Amino acid sequence: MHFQGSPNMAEKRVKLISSDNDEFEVDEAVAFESETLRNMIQDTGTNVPISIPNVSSDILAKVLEYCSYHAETMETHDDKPPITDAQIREWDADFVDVHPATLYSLILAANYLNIKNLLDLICQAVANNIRGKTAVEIRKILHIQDDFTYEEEMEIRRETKWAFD
Amino acid sequence: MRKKARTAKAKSKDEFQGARASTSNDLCRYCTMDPKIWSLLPEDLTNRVLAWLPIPSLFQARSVCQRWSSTIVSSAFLSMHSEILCQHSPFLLFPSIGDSLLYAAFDPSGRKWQPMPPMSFLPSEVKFVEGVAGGLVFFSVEAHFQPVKLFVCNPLTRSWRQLPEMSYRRTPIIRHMVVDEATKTYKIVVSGNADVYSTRDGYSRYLNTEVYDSVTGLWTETGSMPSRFDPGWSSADCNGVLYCMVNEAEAVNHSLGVITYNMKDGQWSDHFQQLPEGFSLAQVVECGGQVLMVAERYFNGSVKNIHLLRLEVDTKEWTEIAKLPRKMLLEFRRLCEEESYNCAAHETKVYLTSFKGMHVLVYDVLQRTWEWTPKCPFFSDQADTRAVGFSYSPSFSVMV
Repeated sequence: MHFQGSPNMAEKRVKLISSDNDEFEVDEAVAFESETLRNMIQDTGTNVPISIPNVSSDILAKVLEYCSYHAETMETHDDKPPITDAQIREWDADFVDVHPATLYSLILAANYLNIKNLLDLICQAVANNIRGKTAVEIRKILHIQDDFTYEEEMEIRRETKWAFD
Repeated sequence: MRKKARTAKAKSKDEFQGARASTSNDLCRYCTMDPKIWSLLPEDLTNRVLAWLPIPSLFQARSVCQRWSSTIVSSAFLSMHSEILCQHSPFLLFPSIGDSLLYAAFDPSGRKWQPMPPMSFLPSEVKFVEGVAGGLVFFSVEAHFQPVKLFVCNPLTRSWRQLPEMSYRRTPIIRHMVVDEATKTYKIVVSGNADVYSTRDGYSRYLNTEVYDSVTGLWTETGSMPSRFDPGWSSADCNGVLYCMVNEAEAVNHSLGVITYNMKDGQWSDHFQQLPEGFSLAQVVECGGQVLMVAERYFNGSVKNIHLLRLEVDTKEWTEIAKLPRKMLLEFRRLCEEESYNCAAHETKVYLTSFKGMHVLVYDVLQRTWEWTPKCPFFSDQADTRAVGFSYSPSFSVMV
C-alpha cells in the first residue's frame, strides 16, 4: 500500500541526486527523516531536485531504505496492526548487520544528512564491534597506530586494570 | 524480517533495486575498500561511537591511542556522553557488608554484568552506601556519639567531597539525594532523627528538615515533617516531589503509608497516602515516572508474599499491580533464608535483592514479567554478603 490512498492525500514527492548522479524519488515524509533534507526542502521546496554531493547511490539507497521504514512505522493503518518496538529493534539490528566499510560510509551519510536515530543506531553498532576488545584488538580493527610510550601505556593499564578483569 | 523500501522509487526502478541488493548481499566490493578509513573518521563521530561503549570498555579504550585517551576527558566528549548514556544506563549492585567500595553494574538491555571502577580513593572509613542518584554515589559514616558524616562521590571521575555538618547534631532517618540532570547539581534532604542518646530532654524526633544544595554548598532548614508521623528509611523522588515512607505515630495499628515533601518550596504535605491494611516491610520506589510500593503481605498465616502497588496520580490510592508468582516466591524466600529484601527501581523495572546472598529478581512493569538476573560474576556468594541495588546514570560531568 502506498501513502497516496486518495488523491487529496497525495504526498509531495522529493527528488534526490546522489554523488554519482543517480536520481531517487521519495515521499516528503521519508525525506523529512533527515533534518538536513527537511531544512533544504523548507527553503527551496520540492520542485528542484536536491543533490547530495557526498553520498553515493548505494549508500543513499540504504539510507532511504532506513528512512522509509521508519517513516512507515510512524503511520497508522486501520487494516494493519501497528509495528511494535520489538519489530523495529529487530529490523534495525538487521539493517546494521553489514560490512564495516558500509557502516563507515553510513556513519558519514547519517551525520551529513542529520538523521539522529540512524546515526545513533550505527554508532552503537560500531561500538558493539569494539566493546570488550583489548586495545591491541581495537587498534587492529580500526587501523589505529599505537602512539604511547611504554611508560604511558603501563600507567593507563594500571589505572584501568579493573576493567580488564 | 526485512521489508522492502516501498516508498523509495528511483527513476529507474531496476537501478535502485540493484543498489539495494549490492548493499545488503554483495559485500565483496566493499571488502576491497581500505579499512584504514576508520582512522580518518572525524573526531566528533569517533566521540559519538565511543560514547556508546559500556563503562569498562570506555576505560579500556583509553589505552588504544593518545587521541582516544585525551578524547574521553574532553568537554566535547562529555556532553555527548551524557546525552547518549541516559539511553543505556546500568543498575548498580553492591555487596553491602564487607568492602562495599566494590560493586558491579548490570546492563538491562544486554542482560550483562560489567565491572565498575573501584572507589578505593575514598577515605577508609567510607563504606556504607546510602544511595545513588544520577551519576553520584552518596555514603554515610556513622560512629557512636558522633553526628553522621555524609560523603558524595562520582566513581567515574574519582572525585569526592565530605559534606559540611548539618545544623542539628543528629543521625537523620530520611537521607535522600536528588540529582538535577540538566544543571548537573544535586540536593540532599535529611529529616527525622535516629539518635536517642544525645538528648537530655528525652527522645526528640527532630522532624525539622534540612536540605544541602550543591550550588551553595550549604544546609538550609525547611518546613518540618508533620508531627503525627514517624519517618521510615525508605524514600523515592518523582517529578520534584519526595515520597517518604512513614508510620502514623498515634494510630493504634501503626498504619503505613507515604507523605510527600515538595523539593521546590521545601514544604511537607499533611496528606497521608495510606497503604491498604495487611502490608508490612514496605519500601517506596520511583519507576518510570510512577511511584510504586513494594510490600509484604501475610499469606496463609506464615508464608508472606511480595506485592507491588502503584500510587494512582488522580485518586491518590494504591492499586495492586503485581505479586510474586508462588514458585518464585518460594525460591526467593529459600535464597534469602527467610531474611528480608531490598528493592530498587531502574527505568521501568523493579529489582528485588536479598539480605542474604547476591540474588537479584526483576519485575518488568511494562512486560509484567518476573525473572532472575544472571548471577553476578564479580562477587562470591558468601554468607556475609547481601545485595543492595541502585539505579545509576553514569556521568563524567556531574560534579560532587
